[in-house]
Amino acid sequence: MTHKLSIIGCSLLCALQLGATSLDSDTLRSSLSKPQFDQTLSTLSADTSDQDEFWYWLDLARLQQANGDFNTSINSFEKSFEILDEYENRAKVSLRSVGSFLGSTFLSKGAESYYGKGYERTLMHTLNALNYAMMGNFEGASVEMRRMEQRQEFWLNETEEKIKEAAEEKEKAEKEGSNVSSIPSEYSMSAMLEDDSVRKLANNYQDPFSYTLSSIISNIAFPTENLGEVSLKRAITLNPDVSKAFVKLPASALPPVTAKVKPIVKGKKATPTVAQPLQPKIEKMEITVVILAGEAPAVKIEKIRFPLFNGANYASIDLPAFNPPINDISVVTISTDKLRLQPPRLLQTNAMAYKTLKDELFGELSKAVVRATTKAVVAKQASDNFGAFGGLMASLVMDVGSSAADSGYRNWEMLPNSGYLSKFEALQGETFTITMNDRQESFTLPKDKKGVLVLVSYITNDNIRIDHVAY
Amino acid sequence: MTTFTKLSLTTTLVLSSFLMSGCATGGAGMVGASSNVKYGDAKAAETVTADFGSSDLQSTAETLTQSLLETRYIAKAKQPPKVRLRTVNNLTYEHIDTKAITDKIRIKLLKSGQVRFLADTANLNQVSAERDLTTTATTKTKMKAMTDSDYIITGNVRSIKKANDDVKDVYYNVSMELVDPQSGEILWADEKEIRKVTAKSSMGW
Repeated sequence: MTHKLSIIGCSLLCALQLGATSLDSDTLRSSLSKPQFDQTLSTLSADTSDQDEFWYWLDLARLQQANGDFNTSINSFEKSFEILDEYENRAKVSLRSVGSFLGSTFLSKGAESYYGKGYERTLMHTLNALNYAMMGNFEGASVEMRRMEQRQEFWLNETEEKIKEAAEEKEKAEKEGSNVSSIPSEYSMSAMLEDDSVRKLANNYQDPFSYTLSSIISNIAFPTENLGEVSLKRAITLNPDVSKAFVKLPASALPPVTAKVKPIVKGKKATPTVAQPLQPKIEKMEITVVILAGEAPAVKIEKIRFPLFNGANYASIDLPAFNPPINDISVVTISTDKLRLQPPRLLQTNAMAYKTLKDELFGELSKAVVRATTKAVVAKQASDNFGAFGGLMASLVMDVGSSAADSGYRNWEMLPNSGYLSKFEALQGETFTITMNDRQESFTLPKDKKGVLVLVSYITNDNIRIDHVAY
Repeated sequence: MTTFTKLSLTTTLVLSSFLMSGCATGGAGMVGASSNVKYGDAKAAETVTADFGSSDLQSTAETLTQSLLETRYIAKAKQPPKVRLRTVNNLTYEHIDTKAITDKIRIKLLKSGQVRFLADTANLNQVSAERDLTTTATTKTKMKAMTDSDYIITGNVRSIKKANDDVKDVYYNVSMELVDPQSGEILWADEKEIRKVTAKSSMGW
């Protein structure tokens, strides 16, 4: 019997280990450069251990998009939407939600399933809209942009619930003699949460990048309906720099109007036409450049020492924190013959992630303290009943359990950290250059189209892909 | 780590119960594919989800076609007018195949024998190419006959979604218009409204 239990136990541990190491966060984030990218993408696609996780499909979808596989990227996004839809439509009393609540109350923050934060739920639709747009389906892209706004409603309701829950946890923690009103000094994110870019954000789920893109896509999909106006106003309210994203070609930059000459007919002299007010031939076109760069901060569980029971005891509490963003760019310049542009950074994922953490921190802190207190009480009872060894074993079991759970707590790590957007005019057939840090990429415009949407996926400095769609 | 594993871990450690991992999450017995396939009534009300579905498509086409055929511009026309059916704009929160709506309406209208249809703008190039293969010259007059319609039909599908803790309410509005392309005058307009409400169950997995 003991032998059987050991085998089952070992198998369970192996399964946990395999699940955690199939393509862990560090491996994924360090395997994105050009020589490794194909292998990383195929390993991630083949990984079946995390397919019921929201973040898995989002990570996969971003990499597929960066590889130009827009259709498969849509399918992956749809999988993540299904997971989120199921979560949003869950029964009022759901066994899974209760299990998750118990896990996060008694075991670890990592025992919760991750269903994304407001900014991730917004951006998954924004990035999917780009998939539709790149396939020439601007109507489908505008559907995604509307879904993006719809999705925010549930997040707001969920946030209200969290605020109520946090107040209850705070009361509980304070009753047990713990001060949860200030950020622990050992917490690595303390300074980051007070950063100016975080303070400036209006909220943690609406980003000016998505609304600006929504406005542009609506105007392409329904040129006569002027549906993009509201989105644009919202984007400007969120960040006044949005207006810098739109640049028109000066009239002087247009080619000079030439007089028509009658065709030469055999035996007759060519005569110029009588001077008439001629309409200039429109040769300019609109170009939208979207640059998605780098990878967002990756969530992790940080363990810090915290005083409990009015400072009589210290316990290790676990709080969510972030590994910093990677592979991002700092400067973008777009040059044409007549223009030199510096598109604004409208998507600042790191700031949104930190803002969300800041908004939720005191709730998380209260929860972590209640969790640590519960663990301390359990360990003490085990010690009282079974001696020091029993107490040690109880602590060990809880620590091993929480470490295993923490390693699986992941967010959308492949979400772009920055989004730059520029809509400008240029002449048909012209070549323009995009400079990103020290990398320079050129693009020649088509000659017979009204506009072109260019998507630059900057995964790492040596792994950049440029796709375009003309309309 | 999967959600299931996390829950198992939590349950195991918190409730101190032994290895409950026997309950697999997937792989419900699919013995033979054919045993799970049944033919259904294509016109039966479909209520799988609150999304725009086959019942909505059918009822929309039915209502709007009937209304259109009753308009005097078609019912009292001396000869069946030439109509071009434009794309119906999808302004909803779902990826609705609006071509399915226009196709269904076109079929119903054609079956009535009261209108003639010109090729879609999207298909016009293919029709022209076909003509070029079969005739040596396509005159402007002939081209004009291909492109000039007496009326144009356009439309939009819109939706409003609202939800609270208990219910989700989705309202669809499919509107169509008959337009005189020469004057731009709207000669007929009608709409089909659909409302779907889903309630959250109070307890579940």
